[in-house]
Amino acid sequence: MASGVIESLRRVHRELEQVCEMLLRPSPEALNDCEQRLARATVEMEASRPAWSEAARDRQAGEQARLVRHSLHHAQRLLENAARFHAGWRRRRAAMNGEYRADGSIPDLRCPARIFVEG
Amino acid sequence: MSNLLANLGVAAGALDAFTQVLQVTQNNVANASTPGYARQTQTLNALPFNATFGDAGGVKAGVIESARDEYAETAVRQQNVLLGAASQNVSSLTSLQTIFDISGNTGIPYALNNLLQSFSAWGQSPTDPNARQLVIDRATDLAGAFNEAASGLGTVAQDAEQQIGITVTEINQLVGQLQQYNTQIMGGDNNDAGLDAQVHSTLEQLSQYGDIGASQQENGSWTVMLGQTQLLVGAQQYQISNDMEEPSNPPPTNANAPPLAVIRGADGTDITSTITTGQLGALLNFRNAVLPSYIGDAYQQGGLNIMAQQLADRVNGLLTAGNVSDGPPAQTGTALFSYDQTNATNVAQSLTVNSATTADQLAAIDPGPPEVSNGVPLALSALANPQSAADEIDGVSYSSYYGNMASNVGSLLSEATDEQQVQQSAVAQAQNLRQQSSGVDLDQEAMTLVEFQRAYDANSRLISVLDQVTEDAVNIISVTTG
Repeated sequence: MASGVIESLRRVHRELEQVCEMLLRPSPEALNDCEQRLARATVEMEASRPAWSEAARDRQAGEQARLVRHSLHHAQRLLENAARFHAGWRRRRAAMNGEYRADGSIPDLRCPARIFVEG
Repeated sequence: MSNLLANLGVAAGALDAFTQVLQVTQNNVANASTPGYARQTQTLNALPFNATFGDAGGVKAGVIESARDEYAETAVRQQNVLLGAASQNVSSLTSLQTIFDISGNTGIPYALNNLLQSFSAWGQSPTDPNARQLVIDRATDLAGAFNEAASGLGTVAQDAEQQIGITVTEINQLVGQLQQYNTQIMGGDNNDAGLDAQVHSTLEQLSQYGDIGASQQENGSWTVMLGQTQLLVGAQQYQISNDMEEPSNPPPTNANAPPLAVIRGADGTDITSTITTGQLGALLNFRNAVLPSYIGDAYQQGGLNIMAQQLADRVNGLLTAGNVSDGPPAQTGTALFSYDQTNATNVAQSLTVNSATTADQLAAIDPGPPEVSNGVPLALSALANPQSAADEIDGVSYSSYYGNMASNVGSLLSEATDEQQVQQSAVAQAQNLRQQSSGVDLDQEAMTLVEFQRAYDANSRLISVLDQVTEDAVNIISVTTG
């Protein structure tokens, strides 16, 4: 039964490694793909959960679980870094052009406590 | 005829403008691999066209714009600082791990195990001179293992001190280069793309060493800070220096303890506590916090010295409380170990077996009452599996105490290796983001940023769920794997 858990954890690990790889060059498309992979990883983990206790004495399963956790933290750090970068970029952009577009129109994105002139 | 000449002028002007565009493009291609180089764009400006008034129109070259974005540059430098710290931690802890063998086949654990076994063998034949001599030989081996470990740690400490000196010199040299670039910039080379590339490449190199802040002044020169300390303002460089110093406040509790590494600003101010990250921050932490936990400093004895002293004192205490013979008069036993009593941080280094101690001076008899002929070796062999607090160190056996020290080094190294791997990706990511964000159209970017925001939120939620699930997995699966 432990072999099933190990194989499942390997699949999750592979998904998370792919997420890390994609987060190296984050784009909206890459992030959509990450979202799908993370969702698949979550489903896979939940599906294997009932068998975890049977793999409790298995050293290989323990090591694989540790690898999954490491990859997840890796992905988490990359996601946070990229999100921080783009949040800063967005703030900077807003400070540079007051959120107005080049044609003078107001963006969909509204900042609280900011007065927009329309018309 | 005049129209024809005007048209030719327009064409010539356009050719000039396009030649400049071509030159800028060629320069971009030529510098594609130049460290720190940012792509440039030649802007073109339309000239007035009005046939009625004789304005022939045409185009002329405008200013050259750089795609460099300082926000993205700063993001790369921030990740570089963390990578510098992580890489240094791996390097430092790897050298430390070679001293702490946890296999039990060499060093202190091997020698300690042998000594405890020799106590046990002596307990079975308390009057056997060979068993007594074996105890002396094994004790000598153990003292040698402590000496070797202490010497090894001393060498690691010296290496760290040298590395701190080299790092400080490298920081000063790189800031010196920036100072020369500042002089050129203030001398009029304000728009030189090559100089700009050199400045940014140097800042990127510098950022691995510490928390480097860089800001460009109105005259184009760069002000560089290390944390809160000025390193460069205009053409003025402020060099930092390093030193080894015995702390004085609060007053040291250990006399003659190893000094600590200190970094000073150009005015002599101690700025050590402000340098907490980057390669230099990691080196300072290793030299001033990690190593003293083993070898001691002005305020702590260090784990290795604590173990050496408590073990020596306990063995000596049991031996001197016993008798070599019944007498009368009863002859008391002799201490086996000695060490430097004047310096608590020098115990492991100075631990030795008294050269005058002979096998017939080892006391085997516990005078009791009741008297036990092999009471002392039995008490000594109980150090392997302590039944009383007197035989323990910090609540565990001597072997476990050493094992905890060694496994702590292993854990720290494992964490540092993981962190280095993550941080290498983080630097690569920041470099890619810098490339992506250079020269983007802010108007187009607005919608992309909204998409990014949504995607980050969605991914973060999934990561949170997975974080909980994988933590459960590790807890359930690893709980009994040991």
